[in-house]
Amino acid sequence: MTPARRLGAAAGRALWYLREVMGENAYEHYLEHRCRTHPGGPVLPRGEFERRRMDALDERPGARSC
Amino acid sequence: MTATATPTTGRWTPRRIAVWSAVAVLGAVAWGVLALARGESINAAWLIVAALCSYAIAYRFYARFIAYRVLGVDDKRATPAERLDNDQDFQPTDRRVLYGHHFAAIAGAGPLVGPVLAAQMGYLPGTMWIVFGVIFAGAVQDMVVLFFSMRRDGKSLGQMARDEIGPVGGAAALLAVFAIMIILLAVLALVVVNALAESPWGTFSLAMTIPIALFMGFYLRVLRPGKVVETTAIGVGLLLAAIVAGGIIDHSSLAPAFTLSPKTLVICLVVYGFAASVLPVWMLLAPRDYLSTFMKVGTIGLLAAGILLTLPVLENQAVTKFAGNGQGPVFAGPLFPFVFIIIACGALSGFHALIASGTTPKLIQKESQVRMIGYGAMLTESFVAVMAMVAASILDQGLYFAMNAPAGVVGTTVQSASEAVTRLGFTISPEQLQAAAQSVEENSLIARVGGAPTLAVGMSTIFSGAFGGEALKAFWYHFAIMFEALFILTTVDAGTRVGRFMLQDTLGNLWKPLGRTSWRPGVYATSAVVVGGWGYFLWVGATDPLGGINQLFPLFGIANQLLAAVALTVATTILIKSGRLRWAWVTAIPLAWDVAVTLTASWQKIFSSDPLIGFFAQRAKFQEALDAGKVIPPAKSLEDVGQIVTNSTVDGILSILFAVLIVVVIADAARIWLQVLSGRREPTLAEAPAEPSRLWAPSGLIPTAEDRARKAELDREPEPVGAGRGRDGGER
Repeated sequence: MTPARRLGAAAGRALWYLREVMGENAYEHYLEHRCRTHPGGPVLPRGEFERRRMDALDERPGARSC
Repeated sequence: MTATATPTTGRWTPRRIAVWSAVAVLGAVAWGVLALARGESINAAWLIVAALCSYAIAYRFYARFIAYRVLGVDDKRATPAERLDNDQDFQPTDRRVLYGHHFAAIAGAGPLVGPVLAAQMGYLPGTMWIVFGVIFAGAVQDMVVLFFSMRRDGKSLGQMARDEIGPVGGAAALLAVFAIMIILLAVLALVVVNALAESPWGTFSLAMTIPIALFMGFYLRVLRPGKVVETTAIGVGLLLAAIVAGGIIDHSSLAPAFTLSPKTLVICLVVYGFAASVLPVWMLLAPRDYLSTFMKVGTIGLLAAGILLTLPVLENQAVTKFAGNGQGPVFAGPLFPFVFIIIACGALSGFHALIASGTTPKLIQKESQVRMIGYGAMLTESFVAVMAMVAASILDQGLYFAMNAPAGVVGTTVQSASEAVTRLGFTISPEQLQAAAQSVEENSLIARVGGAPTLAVGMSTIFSGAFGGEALKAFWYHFAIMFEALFILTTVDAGTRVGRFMLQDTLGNLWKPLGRTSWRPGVYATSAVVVGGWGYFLWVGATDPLGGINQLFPLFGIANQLLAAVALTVATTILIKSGRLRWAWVTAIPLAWDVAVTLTASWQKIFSSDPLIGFFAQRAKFQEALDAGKVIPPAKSLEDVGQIVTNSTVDGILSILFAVLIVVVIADAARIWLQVLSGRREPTLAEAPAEPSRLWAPSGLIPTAEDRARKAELDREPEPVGAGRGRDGGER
């Protein structure tokens, strides 16, 4: 691998990590999960999924420690 | 009982032996330099090296021993995330991602503030407690609680206390959780108030985070659903602009509008906390959480880079005279027990048990990952605490004491502060104090107690040394203040909401409608109770003539360590009940230490005849003055005297409550231990039944030979239905 390629790969991994930790990939995980458990079943569009995901936080807020 | 084979570690090749021996020797040398050097300046690098080598050895050997021998982690057993995967609260999450989530959830302002206050006794006692405390107590607690909760499908600490100990222990644990929450929120909010009081730059930048968060919430909800990284990047950009704009406001005619007194700030925070608790999460809380997580991780990384680049020299002594005489102005009382109370987060933090039993155990892929996530994330928090100790210890000691002694000691002018510092046995001239304040463009740095301003001065020194030079010092100072205030407020937001839910849950048992989260009057009432609770202590702290941090911080530490005692008691009970008595020392020794510390501190806070330490001695002294109609310093009026009497009574009663709670929990647990040990009760395990795992994932950061062998074995088995979360699904 050339150094430029290697740098590109490292940046890609960093971006993947950032997206995973911030929860940006939640919709993809949801699609994957639906596909595995209910293949061919209906799925929510992204906007609706994100709204529901956020509203679910209203009911169980994640605690932040000291 | 749960004997599982420790994985073969590979052979101890000469190279491996050499590497670990080198780590051990290097660590020992670094500790030696720190401990033996007297009167000469020590480079901060020694602190960093000593900590990192100790962590490496603890993680490699002790954490591994606990995971495989004591707990018996079993990667052939499916975790709740695999068994109950519903793509919501239960879902197998990549270990590196979960480590990030868990770290962001456990680490807050605590590890940054405690070490700064403890620096009054020198850098050595605090650092030793941070490093050895985390290795033998804090990280052990986090990992063990995470494991036990995972084996019980993610039960909370309160539920485990009720199931394993009994209703009395369970109720005491619940009460402890609620009490610590209120005190924690009040003390953290007090740190913000002290950092922002009379500082238009800081107040403006922090106020701007509210419109920024509202904008981010709207953007994420309506314009670009789910685009979290993009939204956060915009938010961080706006945040940096707000810090720069704060510098302009500071010099403009708008400055007086943002120059707020502590009392006004308290009212603003209480109103804000109430609003954040009742508004939908997407508007304010979630976007702030994204911002604060990003800033937290970014700034901690920046601090580590700054320290490594500049390798500053420590100005603080290894051990100051206040360690022995207990007369320090920042907090009163001798080294034992108070260093171990003041530094809770970073060494041993009971609050983490709430995170380790709740969200994280429901997301973990493999049992063996409790080591990387539970133990590893806590080691990282400990390292943050070590860096905070470095940042506080590179300051000139005269400046440190002028900033951290309460106003009652140092007065309000540079002259009075300079004289007071001389009386304490250190030197700083009025001109130097003035120059220090000017270099960060603050009106005054005197009596800026609470840790945040001191840390910010230390960080701005490190950052400006590494990036940007003197010209950027004021920017970095306000950057640091903003970053601390931002994530303290996020803790306050989230904590108020969590407290409200706990209250609704409990009161819902008495009167149904109160438990419903959709019934608005119930939401408003319970929010008001929680906000009122911490708001009361915040008000008391901000107006206390004796200095709020000085009075309240020890209470916060005691409450936090009390919760740790509950967690360690539950863990010890489970070890004994499951027939692992010979390993019970792993949690019983930190428990014994923690109880000794907490009860000694409570005892002194309740019974000490020294009015600086004992709340009731303090009460008696000021009550006597009140009866005689005399005003004694630091009170300035009879009203002040009356206020001190009230405050010390409340604080004293709280100390008694905490001490009683801890004794109740332990006594109730000891009853169970005796029953099991005397054979009157069969050892039982309330674990969820074992199911074989079909999922493969490495246990640590890097897949080992053992991990790969397990994968090959799984691949040979028929129809694997794994649910790995690799980047390209490649980790199935």
